[in-house]
Amino acid sequence: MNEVKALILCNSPIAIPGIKEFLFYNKVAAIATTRRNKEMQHILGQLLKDTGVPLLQFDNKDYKEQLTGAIREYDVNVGLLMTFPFIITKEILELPAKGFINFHYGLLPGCRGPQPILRHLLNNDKEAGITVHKVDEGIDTGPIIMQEKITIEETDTYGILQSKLAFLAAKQATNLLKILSYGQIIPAIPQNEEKAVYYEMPGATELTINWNKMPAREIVRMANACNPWNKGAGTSINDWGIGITEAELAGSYEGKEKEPGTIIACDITKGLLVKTVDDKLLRINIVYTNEGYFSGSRLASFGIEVDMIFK
Amino acid sequence: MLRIGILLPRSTLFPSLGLDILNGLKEQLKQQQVFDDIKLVTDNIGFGIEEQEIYTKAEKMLLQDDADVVILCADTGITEMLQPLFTATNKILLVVNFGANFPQNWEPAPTSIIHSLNFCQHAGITGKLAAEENENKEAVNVISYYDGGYRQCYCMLTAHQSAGGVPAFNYITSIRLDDFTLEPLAVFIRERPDIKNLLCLFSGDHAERFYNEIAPLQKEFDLCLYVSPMLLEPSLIQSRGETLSTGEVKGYIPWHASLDNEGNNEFLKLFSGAAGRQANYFSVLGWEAGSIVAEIYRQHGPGNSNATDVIASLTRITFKSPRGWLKIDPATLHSYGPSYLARCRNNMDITIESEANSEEEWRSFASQKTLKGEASGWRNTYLCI
Repeated sequence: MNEVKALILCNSPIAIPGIKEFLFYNKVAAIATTRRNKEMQHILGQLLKDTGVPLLQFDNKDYKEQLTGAIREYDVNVGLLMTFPFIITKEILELPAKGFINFHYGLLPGCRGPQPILRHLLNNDKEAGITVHKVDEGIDTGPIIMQEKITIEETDTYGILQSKLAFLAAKQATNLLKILSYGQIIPAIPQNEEKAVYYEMPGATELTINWNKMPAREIVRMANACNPWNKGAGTSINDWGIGITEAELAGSYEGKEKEPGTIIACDITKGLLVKTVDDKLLRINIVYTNEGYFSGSRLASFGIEVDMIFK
Repeated sequence: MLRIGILLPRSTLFPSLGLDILNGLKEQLKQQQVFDDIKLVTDNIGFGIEEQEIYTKAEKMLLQDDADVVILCADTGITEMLQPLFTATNKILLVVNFGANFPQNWEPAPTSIIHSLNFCQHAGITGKLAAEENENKEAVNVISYYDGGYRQCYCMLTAHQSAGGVPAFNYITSIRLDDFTLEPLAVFIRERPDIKNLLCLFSGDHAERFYNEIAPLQKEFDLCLYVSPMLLEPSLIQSRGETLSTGEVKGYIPWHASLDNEGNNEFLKLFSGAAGRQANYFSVLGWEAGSIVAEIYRQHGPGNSNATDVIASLTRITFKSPRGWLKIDPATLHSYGPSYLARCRNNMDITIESEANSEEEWRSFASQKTLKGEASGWRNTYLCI
């Protein structure tokens, strides 16, 4: 069996199930997160208690030296990136014998970039997944070792999908560990550059509902994509900014001609119903405002009423 | 020349298991007149549980022996780790097993085919039948410790309950044959003589022991046994059938020697003639794997060495099989065939009563979502202990 001494670099709790697999098999030389991420330091501190595995903190400014030092000090032979935000330079990539391997929480090559889960949801994709790939000098461009897809359910929020992918990554971590332990080579295939798309972090506009263009299903998906991390998909009414945190389809609109975004009902019996551009009714179940999280119909107590229009 | 690596397990329960699969494969390749154009390299993988051994032997076959296809007889949980290796090297992995497990995720790997006897599916249809054809929906589940560790057990029991069945009593027999007893079950049946239906999963020597001990109870209480495919396994029934049961036994199975179809007639004649052995589930599995390999050979010419394309072409074929037909589902890259209802009334004299709506049953089975929660189970290849 080949020796595996992994340095795991991570910056989000989504990495934890995958890390646990490597810890279980006693294949972790050290784990590092960023110095500014206190939440991860706390979680990892608890996880590594009594394991003897050191927890390192890297700075944005000095991380290259820190990383180089850690690889040498702990005799690391493979680096594993699980949501690590800093770029690994060519010189560092070559230090561990088995190189660096990235867990990308999205499907490559079609969903490169920093927020793949959010992007899969915003793009109305049918599938999301995990791609485990070798790291090269580009961002999310290295050859793919393995990939597994899951169907995005209509009720999947960002948080639910993140949890599903975290556990899928744990399974991939186990398979990767076997490949590293048993194999003579790390099998991988180059990405198809013709299908490659890189997405930047979405800006506020991409997280705001366009009532004149977006059909009901897309609005539901955007609300799910923003739940819980962004509190909801942005919109406003009477110059009052709110987030739509949870919404669902509630049939077709068959009344008189009204603008998309018009409130059709706002009471405790029917809930908050809004007409959409595709003549559907959207039931808004939960909203976020600066005053707190409320049921949709509670907006009536703030003076919101039928025929007002979301912009 | 197509190079085929074959990794076969051994079985204490069924010592000829590996040999029967291999003989079935070879005879089919001869029948299709491609045997001389195919080089076979075989190796042993114990009970199919040592991951490192399986991985290193498969890797060696690809990298040193330059195999185009590796046939691996192991359960799906073991084979997942190999898929990146085969995808990256553009080689075909043909997993062969009994289908006593199904994968956690049906998402196919592009260059892997899972060819099985679909025991999970048959067990599920049997469980459903037990609920649907009886007014009394209560049934007893009686399962060997070993068989309970495979998902065919999950399939039979959940299908029964989904169709309205109610488990009245669960009884798991001991792992050691010396400790085998049905006495707790007998106590329950005497207390509840209104319950007539038993869902039963046994294999190997425990199957024979189960039949022996259930026989007097079955006779006294007029019990109907709904059984897993291995309880209707040909060698068990043919050699000792008369002593096993005189009551009603039924279950869905993938194949039986009495099936009257062109594929089966050809198989029985050629396999039994050449190998000098009675055909069984294992030889059927090997024979069908031979059909798939022969087709890979035809597709895998100089102009088409792309494993993904070769596999895609296989999904458009209906293979002639001892089961009647065999297809490879393009959505999952799992093979499937008909499910036959086998019924025994007198001294285990099996008659094939009907065929399930096999296509519909397969689609329903393969569209199951991932199992919820944690699931444990045996990791060795079913029947290989």
